[in-house]
Amino acid sequence: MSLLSFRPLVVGLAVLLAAGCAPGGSPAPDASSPSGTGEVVIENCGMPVSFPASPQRIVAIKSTSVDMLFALGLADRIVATAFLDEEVPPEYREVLREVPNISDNAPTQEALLALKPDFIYAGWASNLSVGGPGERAHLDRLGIGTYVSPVACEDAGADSPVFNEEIVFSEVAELGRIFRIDASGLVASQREMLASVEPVVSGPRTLWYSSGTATPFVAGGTGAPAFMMRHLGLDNVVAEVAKPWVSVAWEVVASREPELIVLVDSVWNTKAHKAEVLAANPAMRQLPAVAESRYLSVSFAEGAGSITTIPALVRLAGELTG
Amino acid sequence: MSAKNDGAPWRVPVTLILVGLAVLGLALGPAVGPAGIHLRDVVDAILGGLGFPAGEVSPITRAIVWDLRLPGTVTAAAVGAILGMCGAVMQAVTRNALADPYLLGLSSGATVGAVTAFLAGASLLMPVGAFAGALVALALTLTIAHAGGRASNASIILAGIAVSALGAAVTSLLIFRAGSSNAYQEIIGWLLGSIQANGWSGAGLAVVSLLVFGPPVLASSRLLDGFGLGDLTMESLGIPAGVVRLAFLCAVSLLTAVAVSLSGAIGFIGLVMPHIARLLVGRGNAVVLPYSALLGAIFLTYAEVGSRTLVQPEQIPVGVITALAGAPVFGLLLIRTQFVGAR
Repeated sequence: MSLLSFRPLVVGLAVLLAAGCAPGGSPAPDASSPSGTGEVVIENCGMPVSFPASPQRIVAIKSTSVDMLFALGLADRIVATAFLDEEVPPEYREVLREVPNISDNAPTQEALLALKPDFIYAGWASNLSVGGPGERAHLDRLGIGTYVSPVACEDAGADSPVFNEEIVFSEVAELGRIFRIDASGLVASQREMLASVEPVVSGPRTLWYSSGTATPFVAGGTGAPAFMMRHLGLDNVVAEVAKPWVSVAWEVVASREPELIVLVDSVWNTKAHKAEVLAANPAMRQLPAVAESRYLSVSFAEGAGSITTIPALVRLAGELTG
Repeated sequence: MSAKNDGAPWRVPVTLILVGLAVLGLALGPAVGPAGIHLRDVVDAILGGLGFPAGEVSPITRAIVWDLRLPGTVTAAAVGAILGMCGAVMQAVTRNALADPYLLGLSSGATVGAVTAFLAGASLLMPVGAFAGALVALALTLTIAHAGGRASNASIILAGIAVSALGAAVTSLLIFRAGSSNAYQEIIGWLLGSIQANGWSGAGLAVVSLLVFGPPVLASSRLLDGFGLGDLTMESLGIPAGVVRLAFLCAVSLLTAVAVSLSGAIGFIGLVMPHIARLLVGRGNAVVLPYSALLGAIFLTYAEVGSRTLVQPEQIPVGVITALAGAPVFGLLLIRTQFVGAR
């Protein structure tokens, strides 16, 4: 291979540079109005991502991404979904009728590129990796913008910030800038909803049970479930652990005698199955909450800290007082 | 026969110390834990559970002590004893100091079975799936090893490696296809080894298996010693080495399948305990087998307590603790063996 074969590439780069599209050559993103044509640069999970124009062909990975796009009125730009955690709700079906769900898992890069997307919206940082759609920097070079829900940035481990509604609102605002739309109405309506949630007085001791048979995997004190329990007035029995999620011993959970149990429902691990595990555990089945099935249920997306989290709070508050 | 008696002078004090440690561990298991239950309530819960007159305890406290802690401790002790003894048998019949109870691909077969049950939405059936998977792996290994007629020592070990690799690959494929974080959480816990919270049914199964298979294995220690002489010598003495080996492999694998179904693939106990036993009490299988069992029981009992209490209120998979403690001990043993060999 001679140097000549690289010439088109070099020429192309020169044109790009001249057009001011190279990284660093863009105008300050904040100066661009929502409807403007300037490039938008966002720092997402510690990585700068640039969006020269409002994306038109979106691949949405995980249910949280699909929910957000519907809430923002961008669902008609979804060209494919992947790795959904729950059945598509009836109100989405009309819009998504022609939209394929390309994979029950993170899709491969080839399947993804075939759809010619210009935007990949991932619910988890791990959804964008080699073996799946590919690394974000690589997708960026292919002209595909990527965005990961800030609540699920990879480094959000043990010392992740305590979840609050502002994390979701910042996601809404960033998506508004990326798509050049005014998203303030969505934030305002969610704020109003949150303000309407009345915590129950002296709420019951509550266990938020995600999964696990030999060892239960439950909500700790810092994640979206802890946030939801606080707003509902529920007394999280594992609140002292400074992690979003934690594996604890069954005897810990049982000895704290939860009076109410929240079950996370997903297609790959249903609430009915989780109720069976609790009823089969020799200590848990002694609890009145288990014996009398005092369960609330949330979808995986609602408990993940998403645009459906606050609407779920309103619903749960109704169930608790109703 | 000096080599055979090198640990003999220490046998009595060592035995007393080990039995003391075992009794202490069995008492510690139900007595301590992150639930912080008063010792008097623990005693009352156990007395009540045994049907003796006892003070009042709340149903939850009683369930924690009698249905979680005590069966967990008993399961740990029985599984530890099974793994220790089975490791010693495997090392004897294969004449390989690195053999462990999972040699014939049992742990990876069990993992495939457990993962399959989990992904089918039946995590309560994971122990059953694990047992079935272990048996399939055993059958596969023995079939491959005996494909060319008589199975040599090397062909059994190599067949075991092949089946292990296959099982690991199938597990990876299943996990990769599943992709959910719930599945990772549950399956990693299984891979690392966690005592299942299934109360007395699991503990009973472990104890009964040990009582049924343990005594005949212990009683055949002289046959196991025979393997040290080589198959040809055994056969010249009229012992069909191949048949005897197969019988031992099957018995030990059944026991291991029970263990792995109750606790996942707990590593290092079967590998390390026989070496420690030889160091403490000498080389004959008449002593190595029971002491490996005793050491395994002690080790896993304390590891199980540690898994519940080291990072309260979190639970660490018990297999992480056995590996953390077992790997350095194994390293020290190797260093010591090299020094002894160099003398």
